[in-house]
Amino acid sequence: MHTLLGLSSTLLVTLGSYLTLSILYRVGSWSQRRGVQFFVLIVPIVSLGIGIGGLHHFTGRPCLSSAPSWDSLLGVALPLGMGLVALGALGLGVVRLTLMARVVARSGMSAGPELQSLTDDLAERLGAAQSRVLLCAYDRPLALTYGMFRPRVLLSTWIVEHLDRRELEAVLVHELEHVARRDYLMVWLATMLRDAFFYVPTSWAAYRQLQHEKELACDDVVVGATHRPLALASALAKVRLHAVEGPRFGIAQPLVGVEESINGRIERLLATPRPTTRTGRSHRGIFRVSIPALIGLLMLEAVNVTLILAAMGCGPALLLGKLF
Amino acid sequence: MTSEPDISVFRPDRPGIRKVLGDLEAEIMELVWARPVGQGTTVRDVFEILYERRRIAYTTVMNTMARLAKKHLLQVEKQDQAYIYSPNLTQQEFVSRFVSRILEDLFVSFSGATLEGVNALPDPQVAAQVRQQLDEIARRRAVEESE
Repeated sequence: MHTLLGLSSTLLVTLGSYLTLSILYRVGSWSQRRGVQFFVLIVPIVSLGIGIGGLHHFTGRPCLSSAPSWDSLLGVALPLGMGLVALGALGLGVVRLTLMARVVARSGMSAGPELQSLTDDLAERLGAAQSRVLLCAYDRPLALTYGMFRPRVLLSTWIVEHLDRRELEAVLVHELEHVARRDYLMVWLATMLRDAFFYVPTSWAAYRQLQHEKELACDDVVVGATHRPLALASALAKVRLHAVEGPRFGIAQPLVGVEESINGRIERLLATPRPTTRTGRSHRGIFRVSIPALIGLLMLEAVNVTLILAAMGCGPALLLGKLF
Repeated sequence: MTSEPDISVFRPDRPGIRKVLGDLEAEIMELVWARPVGQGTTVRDVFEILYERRRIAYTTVMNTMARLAKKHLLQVEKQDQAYIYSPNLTQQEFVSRFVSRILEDLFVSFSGATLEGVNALPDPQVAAQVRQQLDEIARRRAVEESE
């Protein structure tokens, strides 16, 4: 029964997440979609909470005395394991952050005043906060934002050398939008949540969607701000050409996925010169989907816990007595 | 029955069949393959052509052709008083055999690395498609700029 409680709460979370993801097609705005995806990633915390809370409640209580030993063992081992995995994911997230900070500190150097002033002008045009641009000597395409609270834009020398001015502008606007959306922080948190709840299949689906859609959202902002989708498409095609022509030792499979994703973005930019999805940053819509979903899930979990406890002989009245 | 050609060296820095054959061996094989199918050749035929290109001893050509026969690249037949040499394999068959042989050897010795290397080879078809895509974007950009 204790095992059943842990498994059923995880199953309920998974089902709830599936339902939430399945209504995502009705959400039009990128930021709202991101909010819902993040909700799906964070909601397994409920089942972890129930598991850990169950540990506190059951240990040494009469509920356990009638349970078979394997059930008691699993009832303790499952939430403990879930908690340890979550702690491990947190540790891994911190290690990732530290490694990234080291790599940027070691290889990043200040971009020249020309590139910095171009970035500042673009940030002003976008109405976004100004960001520092760093360059790293790397003969491969690389453009990313880095930093939790004051994100910076990191470009490789390949990008500066191989892209013309319009293409470079498009790439910079794309990266500045990542800064404005705080994508680095979001992806860092999302990666930790995905790792912490790797056993929940919807975590992987939501994570993939989040990663893919953040690029599309920033592409749309480039189109809206510069009115030059072809410049961004051209920059992406150059990156794609470099990816398919260059050696792919050791990372052949991941690169295939990246290459397909870049091609999808190019085709999208070529087919739709104007963004088809609203790019507002309102958070109201997120709550419209997430709050009812969360309330519904919590109610279902409460019913689930009550029913299972009743079956175990720890009825709701007894539960209340033990909790308070 | 055709015997397998004896390939004992592979020099990646050399072009074409010279990766697995010496310069003179490759030159002789090219001359033998250039002759009509089914028509053999003698050491003297090959020597006369090579002698026009550079001063070379008859015995050098003879020994090299004998070595090629020993390596199963040529087969030799005695007709009247002359030895007639003919190729055991066509040039395409020979290339295909030595490539298979080298790949097989690499797979046996370094299966993981060889597989990774083969997977990592750029796909020329995809690269051509992307270049075409880039040209199309450049053309559309030029039109857009001129408007």
